[in-house]
Amino acid sequence: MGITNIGSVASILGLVLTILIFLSLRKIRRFYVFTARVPELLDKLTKHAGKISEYQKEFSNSQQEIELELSKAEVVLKSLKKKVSRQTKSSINNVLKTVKTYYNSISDSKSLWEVYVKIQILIDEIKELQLDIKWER
Amino acid sequence: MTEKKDKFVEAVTKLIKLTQEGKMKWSSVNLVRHDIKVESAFITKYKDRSMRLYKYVHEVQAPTPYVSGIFSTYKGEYPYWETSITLEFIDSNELSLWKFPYTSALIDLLQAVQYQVAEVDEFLDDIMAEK
Repeated sequence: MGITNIGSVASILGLVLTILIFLSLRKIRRFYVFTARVPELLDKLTKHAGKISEYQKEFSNSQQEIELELSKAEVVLKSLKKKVSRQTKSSINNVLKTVKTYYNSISDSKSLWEVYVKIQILIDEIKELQLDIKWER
Repeated sequence: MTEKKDKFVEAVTKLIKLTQEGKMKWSSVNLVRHDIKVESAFITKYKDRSMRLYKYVHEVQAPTPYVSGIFSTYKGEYPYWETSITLEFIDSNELSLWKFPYTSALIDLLQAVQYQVAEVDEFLDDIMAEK
């Protein structure tokens, strides 16, 4: 094997190594962002969901409060979206879609309740992920 | 499993709605357990099934050094107290039959139940009616 061939193999190995290090660093960064920020965002989302379920009781008298709470929940959802895996991202998109449907439809208490249920399912999904991550470390 | 878990979450949210609408009536009960500190407990009967909901704190002991070294992510001091909520089916002797898996919707269910049992709406109506 000539020096040129050894050089080529070394370059390829170097490239592979760089990609592996890049992927590992990205994984570590995601892990820390997830561990540090997601619990806080999840707490916020849980509180917004709780308020939505309360306002739903007095649906017709709580339109403004509901809209405010939904927009706060949307902000949290969008922030969460940047910190989770692709699979969870699609669950978040699903919730955001339900929020949009609520605004675009007749905005009745039934569609609001659908938003609430979807948020609760999402919270549980992310909590399960948090548990998984503890074991992956 | 996820689909099943989603079903449990949906069931709990349905209970919240039934409670808020007054279709499900809860009452406060005394629940004494030696392994946990029960803060509040409530029972209801719906479609011939009895259910109990209770909020409690329990002591979390330090794991064994081997487990702690490998798996534990908790860096604080042991033992510590953790609050949780359980919803379960009970038999006629109020013995536990089956527990629902924990879901954060249980927090909202507990709030709805406490609101109903404390008769907050009735109190507010009374206050407003008073001159």
